[in-house]
Amino acid sequence: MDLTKKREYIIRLPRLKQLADPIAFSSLILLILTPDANAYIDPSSGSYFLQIILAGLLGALFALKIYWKRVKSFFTGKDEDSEQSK
Amino acid sequence: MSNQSEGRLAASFRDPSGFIFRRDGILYRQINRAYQAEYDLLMSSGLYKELVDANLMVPHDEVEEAPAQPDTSYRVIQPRPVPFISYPYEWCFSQLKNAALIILDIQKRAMAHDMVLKDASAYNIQFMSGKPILIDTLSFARYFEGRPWVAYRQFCKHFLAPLALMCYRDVRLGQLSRIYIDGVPLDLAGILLPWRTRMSLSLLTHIHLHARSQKHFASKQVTPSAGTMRRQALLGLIDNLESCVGKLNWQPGGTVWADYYDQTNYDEDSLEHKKRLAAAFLERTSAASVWDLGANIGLFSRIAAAGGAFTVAFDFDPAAVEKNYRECVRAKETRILPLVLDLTNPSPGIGWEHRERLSLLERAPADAVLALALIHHLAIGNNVSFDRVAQFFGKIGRTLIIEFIPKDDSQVKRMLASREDIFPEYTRDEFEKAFSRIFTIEQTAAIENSKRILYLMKHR
Repeated sequence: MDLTKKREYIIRLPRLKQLADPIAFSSLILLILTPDANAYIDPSSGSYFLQIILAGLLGALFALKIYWKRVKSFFTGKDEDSEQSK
Repeated sequence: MSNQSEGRLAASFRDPSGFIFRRDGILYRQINRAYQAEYDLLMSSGLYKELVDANLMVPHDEVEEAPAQPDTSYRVIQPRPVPFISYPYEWCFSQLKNAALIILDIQKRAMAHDMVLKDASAYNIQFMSGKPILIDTLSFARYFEGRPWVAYRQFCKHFLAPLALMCYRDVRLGQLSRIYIDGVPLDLAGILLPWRTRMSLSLLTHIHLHARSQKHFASKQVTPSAGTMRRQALLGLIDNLESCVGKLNWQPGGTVWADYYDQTNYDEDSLEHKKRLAAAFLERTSAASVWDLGANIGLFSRIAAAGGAFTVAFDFDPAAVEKNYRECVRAKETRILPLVLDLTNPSPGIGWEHRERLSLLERAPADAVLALALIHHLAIGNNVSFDRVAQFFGKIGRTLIIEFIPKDDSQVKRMLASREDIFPEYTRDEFEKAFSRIFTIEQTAAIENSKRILYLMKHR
């Protein structure tokens, strides 16, 4: 099986639904990462998988948030990021 | 502190990157060669400077001190000492929340320098000058695009789960961290949290589905392959955790003790007189460190701090400690550390061999202990004899400022109204006799318009 294709498949949206479905969830078993050289705590497979499953959604939400901030700052004339960092 | 032993610290053994050791009373951190590349990157990337400048990480000096374990050593550093080590189960809600937020802030800043936090332990955070700060210099690893956050589970267990439980169920559930040293198990948090927390996308994923995912993969054999989480997604995860933690709130109030000074029948003049006496006694002690026991919202802790002493303000009521902490933040107070502590069951030594996290006694003694409006709660409320109270105070303080509240005081009368008076020894004479076995009474003063007496005592 082509892993890249599989990865693309899981990054499409109905991921939360898949998580609730044990069969679809099991199909993600092959998508584990190489262990971190400096990691001394156990990240746990479940935590790793959850992040991978959520990756697309979280990345998209984050991109949307940044985009929305830019739109807002265009109209208000305020740079929200620099406001926050003050 | 004087009760702590020399050599490698018992809590410093998990991370092979290095460890903390004490020599001649000074704390050092040995960085092992295994961590050389990461440490050099931390220092050369500008991340260390950025974090120290932003008051997010403890500063250190590289020193020529001989390593404790030369065969593995790369470097020895001397971090700025923390005035009092405290633990997440001693923090109020906002202290834990602010600690969680700085972890996420540090993670975001680290990623901008191509590094990540490789752990997110609440024990790596300590309060210095009123602010939470990362004390573990070895917490950083190089970031490789594609990899999920290795500390995600630890963050959820150490911070998100207890905060959600405190916010949605009961603030006292913060004490679960004392039982579960590596954080609250997510499946337990999921069971204890109300069903409506599943309506929050963040809590649904980071707690409920996270617990389910852990259970699902617990017994599975997995095969390593390539990474699959892009930088944007990881930043999204951190951003989502940040907004999730930011939305968790808890309002103190409604408890007897948090409103103590509003409800007490103290005469305004006698309270002012007591404040003046306490200030004068504290000045006489020249204490650099003060433990204010039963500090409530920190009225007298502020007097001690104003005199220059670093003051730990202990109280068993999470609402009073929350109010105290909020006031410290508002007033940018740097010398007061409010903590939740039940004196009748103080923090024990926990973890491996009982030595990973120090008991209260192991963090003693303070130069001065303040025990105001407290003795009746211990002696009558908890049936502890004067002898035992004196012995305990003798272990935690070099000097003691203590208020004696006689039986005909309205507070004591209220306590005895609903129970049998089995305390014939609860008299001023017996009090002085018991405390004189451990302390010498240096000064006494009657508090105006009351029958209460303030004592200044010195350890024999």
